[in-house]
Formats: sequence, C-alpha cells, structure tokens
Amino acid sequence: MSALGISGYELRRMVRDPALPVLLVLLLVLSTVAARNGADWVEQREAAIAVIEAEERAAVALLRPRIDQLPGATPRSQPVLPPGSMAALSIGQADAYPFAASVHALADSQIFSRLSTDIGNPTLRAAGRFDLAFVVVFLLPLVLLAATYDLWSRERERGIAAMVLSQPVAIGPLIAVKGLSRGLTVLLPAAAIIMAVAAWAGATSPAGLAALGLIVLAYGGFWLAAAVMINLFARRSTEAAIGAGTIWLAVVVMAPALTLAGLELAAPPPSEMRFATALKTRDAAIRERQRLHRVAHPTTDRTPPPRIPDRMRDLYADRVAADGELAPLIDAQQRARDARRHLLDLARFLLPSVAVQDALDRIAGSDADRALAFQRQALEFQAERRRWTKQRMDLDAPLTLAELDLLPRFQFRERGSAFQSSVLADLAALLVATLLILAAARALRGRAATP
Amino acid sequence: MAATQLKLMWRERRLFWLALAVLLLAGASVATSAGRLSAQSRERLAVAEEEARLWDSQGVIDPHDAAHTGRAVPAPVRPLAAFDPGLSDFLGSSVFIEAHAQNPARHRPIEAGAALSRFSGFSAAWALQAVAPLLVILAGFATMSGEVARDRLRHELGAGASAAALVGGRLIALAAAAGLLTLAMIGVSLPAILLQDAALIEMMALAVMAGGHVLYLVAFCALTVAASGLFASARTALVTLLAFWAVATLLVPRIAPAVAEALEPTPSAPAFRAAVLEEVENGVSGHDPADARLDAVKAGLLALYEVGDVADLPINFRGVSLEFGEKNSTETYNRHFQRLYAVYRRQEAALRTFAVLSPTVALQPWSRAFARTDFGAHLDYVRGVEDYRYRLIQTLNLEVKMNKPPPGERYHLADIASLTRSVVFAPHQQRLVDVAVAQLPNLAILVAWAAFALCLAGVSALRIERLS
Repeated sequence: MSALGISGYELRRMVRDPALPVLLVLLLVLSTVAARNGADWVEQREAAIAVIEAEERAAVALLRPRIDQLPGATPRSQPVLPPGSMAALSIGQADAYPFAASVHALADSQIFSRLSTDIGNPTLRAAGRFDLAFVVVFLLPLVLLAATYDLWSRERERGIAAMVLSQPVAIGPLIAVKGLSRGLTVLLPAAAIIMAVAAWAGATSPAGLAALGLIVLAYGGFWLAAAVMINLFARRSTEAAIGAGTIWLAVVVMAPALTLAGLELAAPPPSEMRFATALKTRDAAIRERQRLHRVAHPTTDRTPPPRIPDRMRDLYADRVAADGELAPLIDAQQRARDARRHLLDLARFLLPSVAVQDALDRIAGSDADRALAFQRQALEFQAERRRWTKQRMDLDAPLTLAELDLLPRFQFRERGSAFQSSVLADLAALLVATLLILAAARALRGRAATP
Repeated sequence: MAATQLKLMWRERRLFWLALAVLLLAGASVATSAGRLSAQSRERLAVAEEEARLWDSQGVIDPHDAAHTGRAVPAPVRPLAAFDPGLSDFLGSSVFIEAHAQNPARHRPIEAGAALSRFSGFSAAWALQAVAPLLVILAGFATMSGEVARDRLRHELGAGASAAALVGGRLIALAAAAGLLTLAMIGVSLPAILLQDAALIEMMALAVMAGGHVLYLVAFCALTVAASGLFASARTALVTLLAFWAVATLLVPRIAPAVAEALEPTPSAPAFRAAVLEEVENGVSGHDPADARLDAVKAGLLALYEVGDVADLPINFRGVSLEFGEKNSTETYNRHFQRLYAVYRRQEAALRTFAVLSPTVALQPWSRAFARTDFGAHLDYVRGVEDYRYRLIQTLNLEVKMNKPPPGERYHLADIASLTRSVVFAPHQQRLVDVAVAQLPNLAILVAWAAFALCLAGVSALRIERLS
C-alpha cells in the first residue's frame, strides 16, 4: 500500500466523519468569542490611554495661562505603552505591568506607581483571560486529540490492524502517514480559522499573522506526535482517550503549574512590600538630612534675583542627589526581579504549552520584555526631561508659552518584530520537543505492530 | 452491589494510580503553598513592625506631614489559602494609607511575571474541582455502558436485581470513592493548614468547604452513572461525559467571566481616578467647587465666633480646612468605590447565571468564601484599613485644628507617636454564619445540580429496567 493510498483513505475517512465539522465549527465559535474579547481589551486599553493623554493635555492647558507667573515650572508628562498591532491575540502579561508613567523633572524615579493599578474585578481576573492565546494553548490540543486519539487504537479494536499488518507494509511509515493525513486535515483548517479570526479582531500585521500560523502549526505538530505516541500503547479507543486526556492535563495544566509553584518556592520573588518600606525609610532619611542641611546652609539670595528661583534649583539638586543615593537599593530590587523572571523565562523551554504562550505574548506585544522596555524608555525619558530642565536652570531660561508645545514628547520605540529571537527560540523548543517524541515513537514503533 | 462495584474499581489499577498521582501532585502543591504562606506571614509581620517603628520614630513634627508620610498596612495571611488560594494572587497584599487618597491594595503576587505566570492556579481545591470530576468520569463511564458491562447488567437483571439497586449501588460506590478522594485531599492539606496556626473556626470552615466539594462530586458521580446507563456504547458515554467535563470545568469558568465583563464593563484605573479627582474638585453635581464649599465653612465659623478674620478664630483654620478636605475626599472615594463594587457584584451575578451550565461556577465562590480567599474577605480587610486611615488622618487634622501655631512659627508641632497611640487598626472578619448566609445561593445551585443529576440517574434506572 502506497503512502498516497493510506493518506487518501485517511482523508476520506476524516471527511466522512461527522465529528470533524463539529470540531471545526466549535473551534470557529470559540476563536471568534476569544478574538472579540481580545479586541474589547484593546479598545479598553486605548480608552484608558486616551484618558491619560487628555489628563496630560489638561495639565498643559492649566499651565498655559500661568506660565509667566510660574518660572521654572514644567508640565507633567505621562508616557504610555500603546497596545501592539497584534494585541488582540493575547492579553498575556499586559495587565501585570504598568502601561503608563507619570514623569516630572522634580519628582522621584518611582514613576509607575501612580497609574499602574489594575482595578478590574479580581474574581474575573483569577479565572484567566479568554483570548485567542487561550484557545491556541488550551483548546487547540483538545480539538486535535479529539480527531486523532484513536488513530491506530480503533483499527486494533475492530481487528482491522491485524488485517493491515498481514500485508507487506512497514508499521512506522503507516502510522506516520495516517497521523499526518488525519492531523493535517484538522490542523490546517484550524490554523486558518485562528489566523482569520485574529485578523478579523484587528491583529492584521502580515508578519504577526505569519508567525501566529507557524506557532499554531508547530504546536499542532507537537500534539500530533503525542497522539501517535499514545496510539503505540493504547489497545482500545477508551484507553487512548484516557491517555490523551491525561497527557493534555499534564502538559497544559499540571506541569506548568507545578513548575511555577516549585520555582516560587525555590526562587521566591523579591518582596515588593519590604522594598517599598525600605525605599520609604531611606527616602525619608535622605530628605530629612537634606532639609537639615538646607536649614544650616541656606542658599543666599542673589541680586538681581534669577528668573528661575533658586528654590527650584535646590529642589532639583536635592531630588537628583536623593535618586542617586536610592539607586543602589532600586537596582538591587530590579536585579532580583530580573533574575526571577529570567528563571521563569528559561523554564518555558521545558514546557511546550508555556513556550507557545510566550511566543503568542511576544507576537501580540503583551510580553514582559516589551513592558520592561517601556519602563526603561520611560525612565530614559525622565532622565532626558531632567537634563533639559537642568540646562534651562543653568541658562536661567524659564519655559515660555511658545516652547510649551515643543517640549520633547514620549514615543515608545518598538523592539523586535514578530519573528524576534525569543519567538524563534520558542519555536525551536517546540520543534525539539516534537522531534524527541517522534524519535521515541520511532524507537517504540514495534509496539504498534501487534494487533 | 456497591461493594462489588468498589471491588471492580479497585481492580482497575490505572485509575488508582492516576488518583494517587493527582493526590501527590496536590500534596506537592499544598506543600509549596504552605512554604509560601509561611514566608508571607514572616514578611508581613516584619513589614508591619517596621512600619510601626517608622511611624513612631517621626518625632515632633507637623501632624499633616505625618499624614503625608503615611504607612503601609499588610493584609492578613489566610491559613486555608494552603488548600484553596482563591484570589490571593490577584489581590493586593498591602494598602498604603495617607492623607487625601484611598489607595487600592498594591503588590499583587501576579504582577511582574512571565508567560509561565499565566499557568498558576493549581491547588488542592482546583484538583478537587477539575481533576476529581475527570477521575470520577473515567472510573464510572463504563460501569453500565459497553458490551461487557451491558452483558453483566443483563445477567444481574436476569438474576432478579432491580435496576434501581444496580444504578444505586454503582452510584454509592462511585460517590464513596469520590468522598474518599476528597477526604484524602483534605488530609494532605491539613498539616499545611495547621502549620499556619489555623484556629477552630478555620477547621469548621474547612469542613463546610469539604461538604460543598462532596456535593459537587456527587453530582458528577450521578451524571456519570446516568450517562453510563443511558448510552449503550461506552465510547458515546465517555465522549459525552468528557465534553460535559471540558465545558463545565474548563470552558464555562473561563468564558463566563469574559461575558460578565462585557455585559458590565469595569472602568479603567485612569478613568476611575479622573472621575474621583473631578468630583473632589467640583462636587457630585460638577458645579460645586471644593473651594466654594470651604468658603461656606469659613463663613459659618466666622459667624459662629463673631470674628472677621480666620486669624482671630480660637481654632486653627488650617486644621478645619484639612478636616473638611479629608471628609470631602473620603466621601467621594467611598461613593466611587461603592459604585465600583456594585459593578463587581453585578458581574458576579452575571457569572452565577452560568452555573446553569456548570456547577463549578457555584463551587468556586463557595470554596473561596470559606477559605477567606475571595473578594468579600479582601473587602473586609480594605474597609478595615480605610476605617483606620480615616480615623488616623482625622486625629492628626483635629490636632492641627485645636492648636494654633506658636507665635512666629508656621505650624503647630506634635509628637506623632503619642498623638496616634490610641488609633489602632482593628481588622474586621465576617462571621462564619454570615459567610454561609451569603453563600446560600451557591449552595442552592449545588443542591439543584446534585438533585438534577440524581434524577437523571433515576431516569437511566428506568431505561435499564426495560432491558430486562
């Protein structure tokens, strides 16, 4: 029997199976709901950003008529992280990191605390987001397994396996072609559905869609390999179904959750509560010392008085000095956070479902690295604002009405494309996992040769 | 009949090993939870002590400066979180209190994670809510369906056994196994819970939680036995039950919150803050500026004391202004938070309607409420903190009001530690009976599911009766 013949037989069987259209329609409905949720989230995030931008404009408008009476004043700027072009795909870590900052030259470097709180209902948040990433990571494997779990076990159960094996046919290629034909009959339309609804929800970047398609196919390939493996062992379809369910539960739910719990225990996150208290203590001590110093060494009045009052220069100098002293404490906390996140990032290479989630988050721009890039850029922006302020203080040149609209504005610089190295690494991890399963299946193919 | 069924299930060793594996994994989860909770207890105690030390060490300063220094009040650690962490990871673990603002709780454990963080949530409670029903289905789907089971059923009926006894026996056996699993799950959690200094009330709450889980599993047992009796093919019974399991435990608990949020959208944090600030400034009507309201207070005081200038008042007008501002902002925040919580309540009501499709939607809030890891318990904490904040800040403002600055000085100074010694944080915790009353709708839903499933099992018994 040729590979083409086996493939044709499997395809005909799949097309005649009434379960296939049901599964695909189910996937279409669920994907549409998930994509709509993703699009709603993007709208909500954009609305929140619009409120922040309106607030910033209002602050400038408030300053405009009084700018001559407030020499040295600069408006507060509120940098924001806009949703990425594929944001409707995955909400990922977007709720877990600040998406806005409040920058002022004379304020401290804790610029993310004021606008970073998520006030969404914790009961709903704890349930997890129902987005396309969830459909891909959690539900797509169920659809694939439902279509392929009895790939060979059914033949064994019905006695067809014995008849087939009596023919001059190699079992390895037979199972491989059956798996591939049956799997692709489900996987290709499933990938098309997911890409189409993603595009419908506004995730229209061609590179992003191509990356999404690749991830879906690679993840689907992993589950097809798992289905082949299950069928080498299962002699009855119910056994195969139980095996498929167990493997799904282990790969998608238990292994990631237990890995996370283990990592939390082995390398707990640095205490944010202790950090906040330590920072407050240190800041209060520095400010008290600075106050006493200013009382003991008051700035002498100049004649004629500068246009920007020296009080502003003192404030600026004290703030910059305080930030310099606080920097080691903040840096140590950041290093501890980075180390933990690095560990969590590394763990994904051992967990296919997490690698897929990570890749989808990165394609959507809702990953931790993009959020951290925003934080770095916002802090750089604050440093730039401070340099600008210092320059104006040195020149004793207060901000003028004409300059108010020309102040440097924050613009987030996107880093990496949909095919950034981390997404490729996720893909590579998936492929390695799939190849390992296939290699094991090849070594164990003899188990399928017994009817 | 039940004993025979239990024997048959015992012989199916794969399921036993699977259950044991789940139990071990849940045990591992409970152990990691216990370690985490102990670390959290130590952390929160240390922070509370440090915050108290910092507050008391402010010395003699302007009381309003102290109000701006503020202090953090950590949330209590819930011992039953070792069994059901509920919303713990999604709730702030500390509230920073200060003048003029009601800050939401901050430092949510879910923050600053990575892709792996989206996979949190495995716990002993989750194992009972999602994995145990799967085990029940796998253990029971073929008890009466499939060729072998049907043949045995016919023989049993032929031997004179009634269909009700056959179905009932299988149901009792399955329910006994599920009850055993629940007990084992509680058993592996017990040391971790006791390690967190759980009191008698927590142990009673644990018993009530276990009761809810048993009721839930009985519903699954009855549905499984019913499907097994109604479908002749084991494959059909398995596919139907697995589809129900996937919908009830995975899909509905995930989709329902999204629908609830779409029906009742939560305002974004910036929109919430902007609305509060607008109302603080311009009053509820939007045309009643705070300055004008303060002017009216000033005019009233000048008239009361029959003086022409605030400097001639026997009290410090700065304190009056601060008191007024705090009352004004607190009332505004309270109004807006009440509105926000009303949105949450409507979302939860919308969520509950999905219990028609999934008993898990009713069991989860039941379990979290008794574990004190739900939003209600968090609200108790947040309201307690707000009550403390308001008393603390107004005590400081009263001190300013009642003391005019000495001649030549700008502010009146006071020893903050002595001034605020009597103002303490008194956490409020709902009584168990109040939690139970609040959870009655969820209990009713669980009972209704169990009753429906038992009725279905009854229908399957009637169908089996016809086999004879």
